[in-house]
Amino acid sequence: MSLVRVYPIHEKVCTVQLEKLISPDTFQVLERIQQAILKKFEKEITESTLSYTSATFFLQNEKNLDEYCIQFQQLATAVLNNQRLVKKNERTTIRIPVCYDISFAPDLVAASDKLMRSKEEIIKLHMLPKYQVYTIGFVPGFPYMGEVDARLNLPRKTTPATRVAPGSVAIAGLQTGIYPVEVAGGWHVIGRTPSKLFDKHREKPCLLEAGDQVEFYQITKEEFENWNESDCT
Amino acid sequence: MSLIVHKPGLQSTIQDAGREGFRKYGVPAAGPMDFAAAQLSQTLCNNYHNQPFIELTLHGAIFEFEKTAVIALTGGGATALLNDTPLPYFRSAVIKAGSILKFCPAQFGCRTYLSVQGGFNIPQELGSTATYLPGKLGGIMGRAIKAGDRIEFNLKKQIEEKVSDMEVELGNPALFTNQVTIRFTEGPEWSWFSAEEQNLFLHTKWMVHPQSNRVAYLLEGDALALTQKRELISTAVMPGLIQVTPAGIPYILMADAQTIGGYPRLARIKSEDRNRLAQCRPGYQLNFQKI
Repeated sequence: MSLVRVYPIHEKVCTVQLEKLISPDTFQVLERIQQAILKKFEKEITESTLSYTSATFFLQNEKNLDEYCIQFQQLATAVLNNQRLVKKNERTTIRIPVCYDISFAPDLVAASDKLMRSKEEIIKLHMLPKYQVYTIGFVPGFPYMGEVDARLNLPRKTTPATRVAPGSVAIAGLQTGIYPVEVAGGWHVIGRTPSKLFDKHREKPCLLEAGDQVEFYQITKEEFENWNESDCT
Repeated sequence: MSLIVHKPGLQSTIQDAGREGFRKYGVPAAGPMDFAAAQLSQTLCNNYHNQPFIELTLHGAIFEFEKTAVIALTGGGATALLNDTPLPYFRSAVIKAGSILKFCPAQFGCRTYLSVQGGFNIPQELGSTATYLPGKLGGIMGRAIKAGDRIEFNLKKQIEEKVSDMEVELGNPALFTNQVTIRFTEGPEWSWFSAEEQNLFLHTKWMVHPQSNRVAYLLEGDALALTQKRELISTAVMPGLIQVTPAGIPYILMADAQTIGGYPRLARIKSEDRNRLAQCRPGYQLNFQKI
């Protein structure tokens, strides 16, 4: 089986899908494929997005979508065959403050019971890894990040909470994410960040994008309440 | 110089041609559900396609015009009364200052487009005025229109009284029947479904579920079972794709659909048939035809 599959999802849109497992390494390859395609078809592509193991390209012209698919397939295959020659992309790490106080963490006690681990242990394990942002979606600015420590693996709630507060930091399976706006959600909320994930008035509206590295650090409730976004690094 | 909202109707939003360039931040295009009808209302007003207009859902809205304006109504789902006199769709009309425009029930269709010559005066957010309700973006503070809103429109220096007298038709079957055929091609995960399931999808008379909205249309019928319990890694989705939930319920992604999804994508609807869907109201019967 080929390691890459290219298919249309719309008359003007096609997706390059790597038939590989989710990992930071796969994501690096995906980014390289995206760069190669954007470089060659700069004028013909209006938008492109990344998600875990796939890159999607929005084209100006709906003519010859099949032709684009063939050419994207060739470029992707070339990148896959040349992996050893390329240096790893260097990424800056974005540090995000989180208050794990129980008043901001409606699901921390239940998670502690289900995982049979103390709250402190859960907090420690959540802050431990450096996370990779694999995609932004669900609602504007919501980052899907992995991988959460296997000891925190909890399935999504069977019934989603009708209202999750903005800034809520949550876990589900081996993923962690942050709710930018108030919305219904099925992930387990274990803390809250004062950082604004999405602000339509900012020049760059979204704090994170696919490919970024994220580290969480703990702040107190008092620090949360006195948080000033401009102090943020 | 405003349009005053006395009643907003079921759901009325400001839209334009849609928001491009922000999908990587999880922001979909939004824009009108029925592109053809929306463009036509703009054309009838001599507007650019990207000027703001109003999309209304079914009936109930009551608007007042503070100032004389040229407007056009297209689409369906309501009958319009201008000062208690029927106002035909699909042609432009001069509306005198102080007029009341009321939307009453109609038998067919679902969405009306109201354009005003010069366009409504709405600030852009992320390059567009299109309302994206789930993200609280665009339109009037990211929300649907409500009673008491005064929506300014841009008056041309001189009203073009001599508006085009043409009357046009859209040929959208959902505007005159409640049984609609939707054409599709195989979706990326079509082969994940057995031949039996594919046939079930093709031969079921699906009903549009009452919970359908600008995000997605839910279909009521026999549940589709996935023979292989495979998991899809979340990937890009677009309006027009049909996803099937683990419970076997197909739903069609529409204008406000999120940018990524994790359910298998059974089918991809022919883009122009999204206009048909936009005019299908809950209870309409759909059958799917493979092309």
